[in-house]
Amino acid sequence: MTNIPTTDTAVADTVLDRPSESRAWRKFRSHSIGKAGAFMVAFFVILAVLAPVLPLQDPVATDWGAVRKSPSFAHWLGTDEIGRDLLSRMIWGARASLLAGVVSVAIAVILGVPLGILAGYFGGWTDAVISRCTEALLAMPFLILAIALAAFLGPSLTNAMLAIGIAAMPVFIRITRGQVLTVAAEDYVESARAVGLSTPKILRRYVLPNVLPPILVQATLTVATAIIAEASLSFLGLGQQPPSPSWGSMLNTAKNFLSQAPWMALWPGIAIFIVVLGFNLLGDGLRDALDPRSD
Amino acid sequence: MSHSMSNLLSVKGLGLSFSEKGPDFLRDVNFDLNKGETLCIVGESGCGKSLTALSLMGLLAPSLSRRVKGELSFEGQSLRFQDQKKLQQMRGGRLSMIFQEPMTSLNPSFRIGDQISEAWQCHHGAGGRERALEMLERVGIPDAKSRMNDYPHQLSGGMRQRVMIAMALVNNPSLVIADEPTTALDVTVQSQILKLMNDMQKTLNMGIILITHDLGVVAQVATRVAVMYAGEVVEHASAEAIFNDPQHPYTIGLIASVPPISGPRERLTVIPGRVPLPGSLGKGCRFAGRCPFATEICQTDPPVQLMEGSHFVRCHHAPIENMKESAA
Repeated sequence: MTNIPTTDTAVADTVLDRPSESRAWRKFRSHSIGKAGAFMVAFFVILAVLAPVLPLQDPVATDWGAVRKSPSFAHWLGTDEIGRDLLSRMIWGARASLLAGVVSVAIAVILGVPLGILAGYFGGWTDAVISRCTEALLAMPFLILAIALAAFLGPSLTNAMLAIGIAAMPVFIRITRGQVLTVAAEDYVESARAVGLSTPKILRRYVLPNVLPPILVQATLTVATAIIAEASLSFLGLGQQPPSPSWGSMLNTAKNFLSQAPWMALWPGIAIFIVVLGFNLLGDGLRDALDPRSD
Repeated sequence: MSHSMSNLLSVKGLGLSFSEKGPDFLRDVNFDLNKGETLCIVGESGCGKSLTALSLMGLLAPSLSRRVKGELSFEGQSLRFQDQKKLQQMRGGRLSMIFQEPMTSLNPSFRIGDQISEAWQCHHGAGGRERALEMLERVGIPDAKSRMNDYPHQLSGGMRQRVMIAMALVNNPSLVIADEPTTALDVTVQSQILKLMNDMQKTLNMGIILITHDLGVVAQVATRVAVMYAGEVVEHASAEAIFNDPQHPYTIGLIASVPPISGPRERLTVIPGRVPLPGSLGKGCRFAGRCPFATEICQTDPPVQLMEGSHFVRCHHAPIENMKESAA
């Protein structure tokens, strides 16, 4: 049989390379709501990253001469009940909150998505076992489950992140499984098998990318939920331990001084609100940008 | 007719049932294909055309592929009892498939150039993108260089089918199974695609199994034709013989159902009745219930394949000429 002669690879020019700027990025850049979300998130991320180099006061240093002072030039956001600078605590607290949000969602995605793909693609017993366990976890309210796990693991920020991650995992298993069921029935998966691709490769190249967009959107939304969950756990004393600051634990203390020093509750509340809103808007933008079918 | 030297594919006694005691969805399917030939499998919806193709490709669900019976030999090797790894190498390599729905058979998340090059790379390793570009040019995609970076949704149906063909042929297969490749396309595009497949066949000397229910397409491209009815091949012969001297009552009915282009307008000829459900298949001839020539023996005994040279007919009454005379 005659083989089709292959072209000389030497003449292959740059047109054969993929275009450098991806389409998704171009679409995201023209999505103003998504960009607004990205700016909100980026603002806090930059503050959190720069915390050690910013000219801030020590977030745990107490000043008994300035207890519960309202915002002033010396303390831009005021001070708390033992005279710690709130601006400094807010910025250092952003580290704990953002870290908790991102790390716990990463745990949930890394554990949940592969389990969901296995359940959806292979079906049968694999699916039955994974799905029943998922349903058992889903039967418990998210926050109650996270609190129980955090209490079981012991109070610390790391354990709080683990607890939130595991509590958020069933949602990702569920979404992934459902998506895989639709995608695996698509003709292009069958045509990938007909081309001779191996199962792991089909899962990685054909199934995963096509189930990813809804998972990514869910992930950004869950980051928001996880930040609130971390705040709740810290509020209950199960997350970030004193004296290190986190927005949740700051709210926890502030509730005792709501009438004398309302600004103590105001700043963490506003920050949580803006970050959560930012992640939600970012999620919307990503959803629109990542859908290869929309233009 | 059968040159054992160039025999590419031989299917003997292919059978398939959905459960242990269940009815046979495919029963005793036999056909051969030589290099450079086109075999058309025709029949109405649900007669087992696609099941036959999927059995050949080893693409049935594992629970089903265990129930496949018969001998499938491709380039002298059995396609059954192969381990998955070897089948996987064969799929897309020597043996490849073009699907019916170009609109949904491409991965929407990847550029078409990447998809074609992946098909090459999983059999050959490096050099996929150059090869993909070359294939796109060969299948007649204009401005192939920039089209490489298009996503499937940016292409028309005919273009996508060309991409599917490029993907199926990228590894120089010796056999391509095309499952109704032109059904979803309009008539002008359809003839372009058929011509393209014909040209590629000449260059590569490959065998094509074309599954279709369009007798017009069959007349254009077929070397040999296998007519299927209710899971059986009822007639298998050269295209010429099928159109000029059809022997099975079902084939005769099929050809008579094609409306003539010229002449007075008349009511369309139809074959009365419908395809029997697999559960209601009796012991005898599966077409007996709709056959104008059916006699007692047709109800009770399964017809054996009768051979006249290379013309196979699964009918008690073949050759049918005697029957027509006695009916008249």
